[in-house]
Amino acid sequence: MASLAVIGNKAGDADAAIATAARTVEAVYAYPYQAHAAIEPMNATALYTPDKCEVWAPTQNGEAALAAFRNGQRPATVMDRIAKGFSDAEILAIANWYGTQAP
Amino acid sequence: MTGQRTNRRTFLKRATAAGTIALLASPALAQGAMPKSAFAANAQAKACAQTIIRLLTDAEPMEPRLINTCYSLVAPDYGISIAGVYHPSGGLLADVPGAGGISPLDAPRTFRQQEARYAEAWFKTITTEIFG
Repeated sequence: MASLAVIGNKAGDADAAIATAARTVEAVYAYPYQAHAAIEPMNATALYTPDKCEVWAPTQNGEAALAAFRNGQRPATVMDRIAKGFSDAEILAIANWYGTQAP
Repeated sequence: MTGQRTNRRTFLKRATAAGTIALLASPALAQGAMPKSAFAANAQAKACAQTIIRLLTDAEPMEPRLINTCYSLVAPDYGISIAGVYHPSGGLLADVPGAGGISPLDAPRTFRQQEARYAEAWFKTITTEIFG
């Protein structure tokens, strides 16, 4: 398994099971790019001004959302004050943790 | 420190062998700059539980970042808040510089209404989380 992969769920020990298996089968599957059937509208709006470029997009990007709270670009009542307490690496760790949570 | 950790591991392993550890909220002895709120106690309890799990599984404890938010309802639709982020420093919990503070004094009425809604949502979340 790739060392940088995020493990969402783990049941059993696949590596050990494969290593001791009587017979293993290897195959490579490929399929063409599939269009998403996203539930959100697939569009984006950008507002470009001399100071900044603000983009509204359905990215589901928790890391960017926290960073936007931190620098005041995203309207907030409390998340702006909270996000200022976390470094880039910590925001990434928070986003990764949420990414591994199964519903 | 290592010896202290080994002792804590031994104690915890005996405690879990004897039954279940239930941790609802735990005001820290090393409170430092962190206020004594329900939010803070709950955050500290979660950090404590995570550390117990890591000690029991022979993993190194992680240094926590703790959040506090304290809401007050001036009127049912008029909320104010103070927040902070904390980290262990010199044996106490210290403010993470630049984070936290009070909600703006000159905030519009809609902001105060939102804070009131968030205060109620927070209460519902934390009581459901603790008591089910």
